[in-house]
Amino acid sequence: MIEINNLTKRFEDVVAVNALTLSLQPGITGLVGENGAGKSTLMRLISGVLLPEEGEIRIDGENADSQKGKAKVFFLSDDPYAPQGAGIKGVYDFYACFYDIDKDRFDGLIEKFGLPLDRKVAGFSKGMRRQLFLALSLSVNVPYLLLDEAFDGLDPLLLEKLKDEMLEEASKGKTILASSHNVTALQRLVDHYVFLYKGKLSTQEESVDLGSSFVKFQAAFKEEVSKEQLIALGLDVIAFKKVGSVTNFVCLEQEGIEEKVNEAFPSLFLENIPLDAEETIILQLTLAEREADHE
Amino acid sequence: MNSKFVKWQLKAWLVPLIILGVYGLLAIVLPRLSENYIVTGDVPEYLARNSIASAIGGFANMALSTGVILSLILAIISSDYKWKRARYDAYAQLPLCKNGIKRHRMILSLALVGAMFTLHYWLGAGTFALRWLSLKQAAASSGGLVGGVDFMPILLSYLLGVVGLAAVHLTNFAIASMSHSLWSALMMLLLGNLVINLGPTLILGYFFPFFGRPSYDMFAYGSVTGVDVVYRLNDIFSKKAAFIEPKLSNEVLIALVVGGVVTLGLGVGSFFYVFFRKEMSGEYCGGKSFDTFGKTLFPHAFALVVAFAIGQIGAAAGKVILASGMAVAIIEMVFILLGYFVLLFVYFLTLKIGKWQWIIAGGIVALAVVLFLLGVLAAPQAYVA
Repeated sequence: MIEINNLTKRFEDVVAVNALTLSLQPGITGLVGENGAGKSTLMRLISGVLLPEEGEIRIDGENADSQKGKAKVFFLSDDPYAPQGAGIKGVYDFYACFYDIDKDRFDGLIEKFGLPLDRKVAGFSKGMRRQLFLALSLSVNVPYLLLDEAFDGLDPLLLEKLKDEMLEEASKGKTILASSHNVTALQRLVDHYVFLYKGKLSTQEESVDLGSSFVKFQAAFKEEVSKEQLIALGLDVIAFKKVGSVTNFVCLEQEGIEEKVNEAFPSLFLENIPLDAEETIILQLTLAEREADHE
Repeated sequence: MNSKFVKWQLKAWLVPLIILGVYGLLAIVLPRLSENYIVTGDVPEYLARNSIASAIGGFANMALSTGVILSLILAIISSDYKWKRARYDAYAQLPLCKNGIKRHRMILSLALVGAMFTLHYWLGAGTFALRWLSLKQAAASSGGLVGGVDFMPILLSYLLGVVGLAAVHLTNFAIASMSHSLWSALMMLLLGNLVINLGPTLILGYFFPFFGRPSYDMFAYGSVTGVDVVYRLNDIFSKKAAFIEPKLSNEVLIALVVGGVVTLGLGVGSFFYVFFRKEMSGEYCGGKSFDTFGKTLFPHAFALVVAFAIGQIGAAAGKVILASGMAVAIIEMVFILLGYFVLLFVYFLTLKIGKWQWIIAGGIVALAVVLFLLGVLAAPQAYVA
């Protein structure tokens, strides 16, 4: 297990990771946050690329900066390194100096992705480069995988193939931490979400099961209803939007929302509608921002 | 020791090493095979035949100079952390213990220095031998004097110079691994002046204090600049007839000895400092974090550019003054001291780069350029004289 205790990392005046405490369980965890939230820094700290100012990271009890700790982790950064002039084989040869790589699986994935063996990596497109390093990451025999911007530059068809491969790896008991700006890409894949906001966890829980904390309503009120009026009812309104005569609002889950609203504001209809993952993540980040403002 | 990685590195170096070797041969040895002398009075004069070998050599030397300039420019451009981040991240995440890294660094740096030493020594010794034989033949055929040049002292002093050069490269490793301490700055400033053409190498030494590809980079640039140094030394002995007069050759000898001893001392000192006293951290360079690397590197890079310029002025002015009869050793030492203080000044000022730092640093560079131009303009007259 990866255990992170009270981790802080600063870059001059910027606190990139702020007293973060977290433990990563086997399975796939999605690391989500806006730009500059500290996602990449967190991954670089776990992989030993950076050293924390305060706190510690333990990987199965080993310090993340130790050889034993590093040997358990493979970190795929957003800009992975290929030796100069190397082709696919050259990349494999370099990383095979340090990691136990399943050659058959690597070759199989390269074939599956249709990557050219005779070309240099420097001439690869962004997507091809990403595929190569994902193939490498999924072939390295380590218990922990850190994938920064894992799905950047991949087409939807390939993304689905890749998800299957990642799920296969996770089923072997691996712990995979994947960050992505493409939140929809994380759907069907991720067991837990970790939300970062300004280097901190944005929720009290270490990881979040999506969809459990927000409720979304769509209503056509007979008279004009404002956000403030809903708040006055005691609802914790996170989002409020009015399009024509239809009002959409999202609030934190609590008992008897529907009854309260119906009683106070007569409507033609008031219905609870489901939230998709992307909406939930945006709401989660909005909530984090609001809480930070309160602080 | 990760034997797989050692093999990988050797493989990665092999081709560039061969290319460099051929390059060095083209640049130095070939032109010397076809040279000729005439003797006018007591002083032999050099005439290079307009042969194919000479043409190839000339081209190679032009390319060499271009390589040196390019290496300098590339060194500065690519000093930005962003350019090298992928490599930093990759190396820093590799599962190697710190002691293992130290061992790698030590063994590989010694191997590199050994390889460089051998390459430079034999190239240099070979060309000096050719020069000496050529002069001897010229003297024998003409019956004139060859200015009292004796092969062995020159060869020995050259050997010392090459050892010093090797120490410089070793020092680069040392500097590179010490982030931006005052010690590293002092080392760099001194060395930047002592070895005129090693500015790019020193900058490069800063890039990444690690083994593998970065070491190769350093080695490659170092070799290019090293070959250039050898070429220029030969140039002094060949084209400028006045330089082989007994008095002046002694002064050149003194300069080589002084430079060699000081450089060697600094190199050995820093070697012990780095490998036996200084602990490495997980963040291998650039002060407290990788992300500040670019910022912390800048003052050093800038100081080295100035050092390089001042070194060139020193060389140009030294030639002029030498031709007028003054001692090159004194001139060299003056420039070392001047460069040292100027660069120390720049180093401290440019830690935080503001308007005044730019003005002062710009003024120094402008002065350097003016002096250099004066030196160039004055040189032909001095040689004629």
